[in-house]
Amino acid sequence: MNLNTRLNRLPEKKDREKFNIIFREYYPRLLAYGELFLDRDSVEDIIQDLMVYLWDNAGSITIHTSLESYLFRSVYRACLNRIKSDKIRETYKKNQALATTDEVRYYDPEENDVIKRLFSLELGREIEDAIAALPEKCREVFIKSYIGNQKVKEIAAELNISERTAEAHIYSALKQLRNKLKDKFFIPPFLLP
Amino acid sequence: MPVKEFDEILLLKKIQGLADESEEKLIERWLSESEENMRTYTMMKSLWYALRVKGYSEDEALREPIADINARIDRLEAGRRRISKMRWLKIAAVFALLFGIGVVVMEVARFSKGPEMVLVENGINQGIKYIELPDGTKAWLNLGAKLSYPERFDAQERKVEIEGEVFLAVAKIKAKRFLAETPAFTVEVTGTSFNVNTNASGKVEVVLIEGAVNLLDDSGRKAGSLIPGQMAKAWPEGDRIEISQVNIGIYTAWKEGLVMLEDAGLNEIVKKIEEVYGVEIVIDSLKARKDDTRYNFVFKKSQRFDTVFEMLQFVAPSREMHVKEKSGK
Repeated sequence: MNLNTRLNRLPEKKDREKFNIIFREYYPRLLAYGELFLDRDSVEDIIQDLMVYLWDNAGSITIHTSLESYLFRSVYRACLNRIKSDKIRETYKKNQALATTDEVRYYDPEENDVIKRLFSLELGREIEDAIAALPEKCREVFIKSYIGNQKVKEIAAELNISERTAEAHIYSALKQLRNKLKDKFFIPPFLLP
Repeated sequence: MPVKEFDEILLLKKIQGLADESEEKLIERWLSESEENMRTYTMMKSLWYALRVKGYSEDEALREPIADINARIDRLEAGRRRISKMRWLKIAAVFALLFGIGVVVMEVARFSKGPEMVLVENGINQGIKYIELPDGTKAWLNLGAKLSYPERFDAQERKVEIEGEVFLAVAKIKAKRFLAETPAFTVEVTGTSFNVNTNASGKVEVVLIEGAVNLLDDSGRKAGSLIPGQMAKAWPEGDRIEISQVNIGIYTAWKEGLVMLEDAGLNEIVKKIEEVYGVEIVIDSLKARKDDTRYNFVFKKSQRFDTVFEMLQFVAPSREMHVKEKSGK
């Protein structure tokens, strides 16, 4: 937590070492977050541009909240902008990960506290622990599925189980994770957007 | 449909991008049924992506992005150093003038090796940026794009560097060819408009709208050429350039919606703004109405009227004007 608070602001001067630490800390979380909206390549571009902007304007950017809030908000806005311009360029369908256009407001970090917590360092550790606690087979399938982003079909073939079984493992893993993280990450429905 | 009855595996499939068309439709319908469904889905999806953070945090996964960002910063800082050094030389030349002509010649000679470079950068939160280069070439910078060009085009060639997406309408100057450098290749132009798009992974796309361009490799040899309607695609380390036919509109639409007025009088500009926004602008001063100063004025139709009006007041700061609601609008 110390690390988190220490890096939750911009260095006043251009300090490459500090900048790299900030990058390491936020890049993975911003990337995973941005993938809620767009394909990975597009999100990578957006974060790189944002980070260069941050470097270039160090000292002149005033952040009223925290660096973390600022970064998530910036990525959120940039993703929306990109979706808009993709729509014009008709590449919308190909690049976007969204089921409906209405969906984006659920991921607004300023409106939805759950999002912030879900992509925070703290909860990251909780999630790790929760995954470690899954039954072995279930964990194996689940990790292949989300880290390797392997298709159910491939996993089933690799582990010599039926597709249905593989699906069931993934489903059960997600369910267990959600139950375990419920208190931390689900807040009462009436508080949600 | 309550949550429990809905097949969550189906949602997962959608999240992983594996759902087929009929499944997509089913999900879309289910999502539109209630807020609760939407919440279930968005939470599941958020958790799914949050799970990726760990993998992305590993050294192996971070190596490339870190190398990329540091390389970009290096380039940025190198450019800045180059520019500030040249400024210094210019100052040195001025000082030298006071002390003796011999020094001046030496310093000026050194300085004239390359004129000062101007870097124009568009942020990621603003709209499209329009600029005009010293030779009259017009450039539109998409979000996050960068263009650097010499302050004066007094060399044999007009050389610019591009990062991100830029649309260029190059001014025809026969004696001086126009070169647009990208990480993958250089575009050689005579008088033409085209769209260049480079992204952080290094991929470069050039779409030709009109005229003709040649594509040059590192050593300046011709590696291909384009006719209008064609797109060239290449990567910096790649050994070939892909050329294909494309629908131009798709690649240039981002710059549409711009209203450009060149060499226009205040009355002309006001008329255009009135037309676009359906307002009436009254210029109070008689003198201003008769003034014949010419302006270059560019705005985007998507910009709010207030913003454009502010720009107008900025362009013509001494003019007194106000807005009147137009009846019927």
